[in-house]
Amino acid sequence: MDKTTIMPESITADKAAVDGLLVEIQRVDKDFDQHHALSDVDFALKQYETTAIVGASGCGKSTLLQLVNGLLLPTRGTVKVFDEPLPYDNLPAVRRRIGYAVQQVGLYPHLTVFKNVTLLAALDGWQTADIKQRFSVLMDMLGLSGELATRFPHELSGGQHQRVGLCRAMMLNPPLLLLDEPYSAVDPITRVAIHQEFLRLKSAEPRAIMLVTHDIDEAVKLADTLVIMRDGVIQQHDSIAGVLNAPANDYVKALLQRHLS
Amino acid sequence: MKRVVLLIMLLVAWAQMTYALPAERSITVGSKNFSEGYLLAEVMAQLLESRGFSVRRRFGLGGTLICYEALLKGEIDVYPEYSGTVLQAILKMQQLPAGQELNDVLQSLHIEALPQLGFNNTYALAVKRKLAEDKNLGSVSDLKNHPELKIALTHEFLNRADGWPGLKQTYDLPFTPVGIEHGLAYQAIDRGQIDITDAYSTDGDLERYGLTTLADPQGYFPEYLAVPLIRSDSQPEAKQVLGLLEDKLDADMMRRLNGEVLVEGKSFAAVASDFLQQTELVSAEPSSAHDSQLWPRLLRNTLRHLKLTGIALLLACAIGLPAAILAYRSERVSGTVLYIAALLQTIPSIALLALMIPLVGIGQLPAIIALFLYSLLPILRNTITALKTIDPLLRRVAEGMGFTATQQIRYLFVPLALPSIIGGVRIAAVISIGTATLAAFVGAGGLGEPIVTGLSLNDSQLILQGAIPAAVLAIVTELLFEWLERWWVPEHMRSAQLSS
Repeated sequence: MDKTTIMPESITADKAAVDGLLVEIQRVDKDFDQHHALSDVDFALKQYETTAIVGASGCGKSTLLQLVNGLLLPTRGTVKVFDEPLPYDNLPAVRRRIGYAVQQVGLYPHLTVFKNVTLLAALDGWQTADIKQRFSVLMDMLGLSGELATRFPHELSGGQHQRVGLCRAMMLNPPLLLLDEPYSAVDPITRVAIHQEFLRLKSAEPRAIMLVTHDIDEAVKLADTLVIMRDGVIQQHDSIAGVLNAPANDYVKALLQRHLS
Repeated sequence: MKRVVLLIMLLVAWAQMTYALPAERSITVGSKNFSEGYLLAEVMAQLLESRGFSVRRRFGLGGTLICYEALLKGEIDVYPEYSGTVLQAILKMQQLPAGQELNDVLQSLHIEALPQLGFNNTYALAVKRKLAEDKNLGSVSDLKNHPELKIALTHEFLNRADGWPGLKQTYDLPFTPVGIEHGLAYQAIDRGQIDITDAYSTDGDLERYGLTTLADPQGYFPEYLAVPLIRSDSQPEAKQVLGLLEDKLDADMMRRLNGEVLVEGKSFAAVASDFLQQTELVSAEPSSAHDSQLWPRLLRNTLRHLKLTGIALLLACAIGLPAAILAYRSERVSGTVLYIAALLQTIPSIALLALMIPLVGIGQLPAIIALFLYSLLPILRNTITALKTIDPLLRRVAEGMGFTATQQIRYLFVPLALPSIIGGVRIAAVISIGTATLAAFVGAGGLGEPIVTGLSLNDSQLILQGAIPAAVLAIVTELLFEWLERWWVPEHMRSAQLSS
């Protein structure tokens, strides 16, 4: 698919600004009261790279994600996005270039599917024609029927919920996408279909993606690189092949064995 | 947003419609909220009208203090008062300084008492006319020889310094009275259970129960001579016209007129008009309209009622909604705001209205302010609660996606809270419509006017003329808000259902 047909002129300029590292996290600690959620984390994400952050619940993977769009502040260390330290006094502007989708989706119950997906674009001053075009391209790509546009969220199935949430995250065609366990809540059959769509999307609209998941299968299937976390500490950060061929320690080894057996 | 603007424009247009322009050579006559007050004020009003004045009637003001404040502030020009009340309640004097007339003292207040109407409505002891004849009772001093008579007095009279204790002493009376409620005393005396009770000397009920009052030869009871109390700066012709009433109304006549209203159920306007014609103060040609007709009056009262509640509600929304939106994020601020609003709610409405009078006078303003204050709590509480209980997930996603704080509120949180907000405004509207019936006590008019008048006359038909439209208005308001909700809120969001 031709990229220019799915991106309004207004936002294609985004690509130029982000040739270097999209995300750079340096020596970051994050404490909640007495609990160390993250300890001395270094992390970087390149243009068009999909990295999966894997670990058991409570390992700090979701915390890491929320540092990137400024929902959480680091206790120590720096967070850079698009080659700049995160501007905490003006987050909305940078957040619009970072797509965000979460497990429970959080569609707005008072808005139709169309409004849920396109509200921010309309507020950003997009032309109606651009909005409609982008919306239908995304819906197509995720296998959603155009009839859903006028439905309200409570009328959708679980799988449709997730897909609409993903549409919403990608509406502004952000160069960076944060996905917080987006597929954990859907049934296994739907999940396989959604995985296919994800890969299709990845090739149609290349962008940098941080995918948080507890499912190593999913991570291996969808990502280019893996970050294995345990108790707020990164155990290993390498390409899929690198992790599979040379697990850094026993924890990583056990994790791989348990899931890939 | 367009819908809000449209709504405001409609409300403003209708507020304009209900606004009446003041006329030339006009005068405003007030009265307190009891039968004789209404009647005297109506007599004065009709007399003035017959001499070419355009009269505004602000009857049924809730008591001496309210009437007097209204007079001082020029919101009414004249109202019927009693000399003893002027002295004690207004001037706070037991008696006039030696060598001075009432008007000498009133001069500095820029008000004056016109010539008295001719009767003294003071306390009196009442007995059955038949008993008075049988036992030859003419004055209080005659009671001394009849210790067998049973006496029951109102609690107020029993305890007043100028009531029973002094009376007993002055006339050396042999009774030990029991306390009784005023209305019950008449029934008791009618059934012969008691023989003597206290009354006002011009009470229309005296006629109804065939009672007579005993003279007070020692002059123990203070004088309550009926006088028109008028602003000194009123037109001189108005004073002249009202001066025509001098000594035209003696106690018997007043009692009879009160009885016509109370016992025979005639309207104030009809009784006043008959009286003025009999005394030839007004020529006997049939006057255009004795009483304003039922439907126009009903419409006028209803429109006024809507105006009072509408403006108050609009103000409460205009201030309450932004305040709630600003306050809800901080536990401390929203707690304080709600606490203050709840505190206001606990002030009884009548007290709140009375408190308002020294500050803003009488009329529609104090009523609107009071209604506004009462409307605040439901609006604030519902809005704050709804905003606070919005699913944290929805907040996090909105923030993470890059909505600005203003956009979050405008496009996400307020629409999500809308069912609750509409519910709050709806409660406020219904409360206001109910409470606004009390606004008649401060001369604001509305559907409370027939209720207040009806209460003072014990006329249930008149009460219903206010109560039924008020109830209908409350129901219509409920329906209106239901329709508003349909218009504004998608079906699955109605009745405050937020998905989690």
